Amino acid sequence: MGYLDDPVNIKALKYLFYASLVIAVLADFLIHREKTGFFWDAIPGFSALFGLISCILLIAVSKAVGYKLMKREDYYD
Amino acid sequence: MIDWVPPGVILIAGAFLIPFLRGRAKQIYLLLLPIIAFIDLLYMAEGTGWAVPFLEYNLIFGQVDRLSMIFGYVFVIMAFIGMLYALHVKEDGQHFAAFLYAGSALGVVFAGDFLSLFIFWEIMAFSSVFLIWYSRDKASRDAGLRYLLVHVFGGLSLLAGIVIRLVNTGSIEFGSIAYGGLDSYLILFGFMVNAAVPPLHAWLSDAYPEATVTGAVFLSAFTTKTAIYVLLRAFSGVDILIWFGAVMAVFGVIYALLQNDIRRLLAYEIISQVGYMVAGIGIGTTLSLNGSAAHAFTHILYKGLLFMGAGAVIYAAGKRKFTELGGLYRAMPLTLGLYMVGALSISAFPLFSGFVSKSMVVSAASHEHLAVVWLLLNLASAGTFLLVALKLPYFVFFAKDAGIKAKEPPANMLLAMGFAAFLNILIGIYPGILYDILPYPVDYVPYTGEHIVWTLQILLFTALGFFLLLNKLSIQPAIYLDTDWFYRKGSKVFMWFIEKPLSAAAQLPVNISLHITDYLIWLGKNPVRAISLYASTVVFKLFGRFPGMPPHASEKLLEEGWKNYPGEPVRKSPVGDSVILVLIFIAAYALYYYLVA
Repeated sequence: MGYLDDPVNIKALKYLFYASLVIAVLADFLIHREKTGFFWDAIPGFSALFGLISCILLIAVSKAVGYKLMKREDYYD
Repeated sequence: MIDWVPPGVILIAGAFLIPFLRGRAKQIYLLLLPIIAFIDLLYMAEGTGWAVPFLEYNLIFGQVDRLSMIFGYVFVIMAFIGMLYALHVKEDGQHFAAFLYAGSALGVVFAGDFLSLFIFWEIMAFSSVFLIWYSRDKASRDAGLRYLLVHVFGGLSLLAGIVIRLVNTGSIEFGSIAYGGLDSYLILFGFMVNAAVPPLHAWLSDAYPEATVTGAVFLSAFTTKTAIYVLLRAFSGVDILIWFGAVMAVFGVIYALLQNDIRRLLAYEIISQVGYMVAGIGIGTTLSLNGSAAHAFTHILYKGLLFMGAGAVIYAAGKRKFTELGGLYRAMPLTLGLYMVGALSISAFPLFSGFVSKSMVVSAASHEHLAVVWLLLNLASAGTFLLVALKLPYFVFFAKDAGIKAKEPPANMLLAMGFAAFLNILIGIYPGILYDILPYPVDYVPYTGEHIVWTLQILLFTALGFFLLLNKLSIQPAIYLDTDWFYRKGSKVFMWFIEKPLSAAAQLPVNISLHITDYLIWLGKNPVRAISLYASTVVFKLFGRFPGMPPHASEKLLEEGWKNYPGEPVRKSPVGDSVILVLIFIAAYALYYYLVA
């Protein structure tokens, strides 16, 4: 019986994860910014959005690329 | 007075003793060699040592400065870790190849001239290929051969560049190269093949997953990072490298996302990570060059750790594909934990090594206001975390239990992983120990509030995206075309061309001359009669009959004439053909000799 077989544990991890998301974004409103190279450096929560969009974008693009270039595993044999 | 020797020589010469040792003594010796090389490094003084006159040039085996030292340190450390990981392997040949490979990589790093650099460059290619071939199956044999051919091709380009440079400048000194001119293009091309810059990258993702479990650990460390070293020395500040680097960082991630083979995923991730280093070299500021060197250093440690983790899974479970793996966290919790240290390091998670090195390159892009490059590099960062810290562990260690009976790998493998994990955390917590050995003085503080919060937001929200799209990430048992298609399928087209049109064309003159000889033989049986037969045929065709004869009698006479001619046009044995061909040539030669001489 592994740790992750217990739904209670999974639920706890899930809430921990959500909490860390909220804390990360809230922290962005509180920190002191020393240098802002680009305009987006000054927007609190920008990198959260950037991370989420990056993830979705990469998965979508790789799906599209994969759709074009997929071959059976014995293609070269 | 020189009181040190080039560390590459220690590993290469030391490798020749391996076959004479047995059992425990051999294992101790294998670990001792890199330790001796490391102590040797500590005694090396900056400057130029070990210059050996060769023809009218000086071969320099000990060009020592801060740039070569940092690569020297990490190469020797990785040789030790890799050897510890491979300690249970019984075949001497694998250890021999590994030391030759690591030693020649060190040889490149301390080479002060192009000739010795080129020689070590080639030893690297020819020794590392054995780490692939020792898998002893068809896939590895084929992939190894392709790997070798690509590297020979890149090496020839490098050699051509070196020779042109030698002719133009009269010098074989290896140092900064002015970009522009054929020699610099050829040398850069040769370097970029080894750095796996797309579209010259396919050898890496093709061959590394076919290597032995222990061999892949060495492979992940040396070839691409040697290329980063020579690029740093020769081509820092060359603008096109910024774009090559930024594009390859994203390219590697996108291809890695598709892969079913866990080590192929990691191989594409090497391409992505090397992209940061290439971009840093292109940006060419002290911060970015320091960043490239630092990232090469940490990359060797965390990528080695990741390949060791993946190798441990393959070793213990006997499977290498996502579609065959799953649920291993119960059986291999130590491997999972150590792997995750590597995964968090490569993702530049705070307190892990990548956080203090990758960010130097990204910050340099920000300082130079390269917005698109910065966005691409951060996109690749998100992708790296998605791939290495989320997707791979999720599908290998969690997800659906594949019901594989596995246990933790042998102690030496776990120890090697533990040591690499320790170094990754050490550098993450005390970046000063890495910054102190960087080529230029460091004025960079990784642990600021904004950097930490920024990183955590990107990574955590990438994780959110991962869990939201989990069902879209299902992995197909398939392969995806890459630029190796051009030589894997291209070679088939080439072979078809040789077998069909080219060989048919080659056969044509032979057939023609055979017909001629046949005819000459036929003619030679009775030339006078043959000619009179021709003449009568012409007459018959013109007039329809012979003079003074009715047409049908003429026709009959002609037919009989042809029929009674001695011998059919014969089909002879090939031996007879060649004898006649030889006779013709001898006759022609005799005639020529007679007329000319």
